[in-house]
Amino acid sequence: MSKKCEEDLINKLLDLSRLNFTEEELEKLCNDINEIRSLLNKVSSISSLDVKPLYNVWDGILDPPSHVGIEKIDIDNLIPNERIIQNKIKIPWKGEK
Amino acid sequence: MKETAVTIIENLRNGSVDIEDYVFKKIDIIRKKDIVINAYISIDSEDFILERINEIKRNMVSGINMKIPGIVVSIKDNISTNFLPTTAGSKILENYVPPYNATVVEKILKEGGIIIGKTNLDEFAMGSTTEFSAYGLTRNPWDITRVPGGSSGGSAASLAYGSCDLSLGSDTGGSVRLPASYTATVGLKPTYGTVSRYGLIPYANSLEQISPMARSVKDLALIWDVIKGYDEKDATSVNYDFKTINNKTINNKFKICVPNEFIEDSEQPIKSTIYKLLEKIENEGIDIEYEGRFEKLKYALPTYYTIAFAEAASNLARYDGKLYPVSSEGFSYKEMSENTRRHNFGLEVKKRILMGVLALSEGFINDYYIAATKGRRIIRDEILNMTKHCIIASSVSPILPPKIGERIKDPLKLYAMDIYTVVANLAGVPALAMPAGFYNNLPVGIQFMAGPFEEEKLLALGSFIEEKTGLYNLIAGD
Repeated sequence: MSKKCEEDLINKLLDLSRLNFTEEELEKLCNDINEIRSLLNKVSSISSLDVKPLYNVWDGILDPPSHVGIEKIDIDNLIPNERIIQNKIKIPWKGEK
Repeated sequence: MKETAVTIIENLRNGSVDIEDYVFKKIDIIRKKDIVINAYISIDSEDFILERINEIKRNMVSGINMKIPGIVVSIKDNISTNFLPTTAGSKILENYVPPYNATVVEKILKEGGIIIGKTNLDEFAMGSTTEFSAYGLTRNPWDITRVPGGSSGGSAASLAYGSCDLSLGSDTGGSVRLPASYTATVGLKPTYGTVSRYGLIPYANSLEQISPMARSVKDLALIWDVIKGYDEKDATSVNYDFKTINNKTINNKFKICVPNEFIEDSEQPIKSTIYKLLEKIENEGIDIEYEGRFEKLKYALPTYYTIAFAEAASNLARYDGKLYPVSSEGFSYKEMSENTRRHNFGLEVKKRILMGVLALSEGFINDYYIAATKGRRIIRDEILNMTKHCIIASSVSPILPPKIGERIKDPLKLYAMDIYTVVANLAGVPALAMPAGFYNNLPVGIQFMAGPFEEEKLLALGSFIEEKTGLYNLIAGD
């Protein structure tokens, strides 16, 4: 691997992204990643500003639609209560082991 | 009078043009020209098209009112169709036929549109030149040694060489506006949430919109009218009643502002073409202000790319060799998944996934992803303030259509092409790209950005401008 790359970081990213590359691709990739990081680093200066992150572009600006696209799933309606009471199924996110 | 989709519909309705003759002429054009241009990844079979024509004819006889009967539409290949493969320009979705149609596809079919084929794109819409497709690059019909822009380059080229009347692309950071600018066509990035994304193969959900393209603003209004509207299948869809603006009353009604940063760093031919057009429309009575500034533009590209990479990394995790047909062998799930992704994603896609994982990783997330979401709020708020008072005019691209291969070797040069277009995606506002003129026979576009839900205002302004310039329904090689 090219010395230009931080080897540990690249290996960690490759593992997390379930990707791998040929040596030739890695060489090109290292150069590109360094260049792209130099672009992304420009946004880092904003991180210290006291600004609320914006995840939804219409956050707090537009009225929500009259009804949402995906209705909230009510687990109790999907699974009859008596089955939970009789301990026939386990729902891990309710704290059961 | 030039032939546009609007006039064609009149002729098809009154019978002076036969739908079958009309559509098969388009197929002939594709046969002759697409060998060179490569705008399409797949084309409908003639039998299927004939069936569709007969269905539309029956509907017309029965008096069913359709908005675009017999109009030929091409669709970007990241928009799901259950009758043609949807590859997103990637080997990993080769021959994948979705089990359902995107909402926009259903709407086009219902209104009598004839979907002729699926158009080429940068793999998963990640690119600005349509050179990153697993199905070969697309050439610009105005100069085949140059790119048509991207990622909806196939849609733009399909319009520019006259193979269809209307097209759908998708716009995550300029992906219909850049191609529109490079091919003398028109592209509208709608307000976020006004067009259903149901059935769009996702790249960066919070930024992208399915976006209409045409050869004139009036034609664009036709397809916009078909595809807009709330869809309960899309959780990001918004309800809104659009008001129609009479374009005859727009003189002096709209104020255009031209912030220095949105034009001045463009190449000289771009600047001079745009200033010439602005002068022309100013002489027609439209108020133009040149004093405004947008100093936050310097944050736009890093903010945009950080968010886009992060969302791409998350979205593309689904391609693991299990959920979709293409798969490589491996002794374990991990190995199989890695092999599938290694052999079937292109280098640009892999690069963006890696950068997205980096932006979201512990130790980096605050400096990259969270910082970018803060940057997005700053940019959005400033654009919303500016568009309360005026429509922002700008370059679409800082450069003329580049030569094939010229930009893709250097990621920063490639990403810099999007500098003026990513702002509308970050702010969620609508933006229209349309022809401003030509320089050495190469198209130059102009962009107009308005406030949320002001598409009709943009269309009225664009329609007014194209009437004055005559720059509409331009077909390369005509």
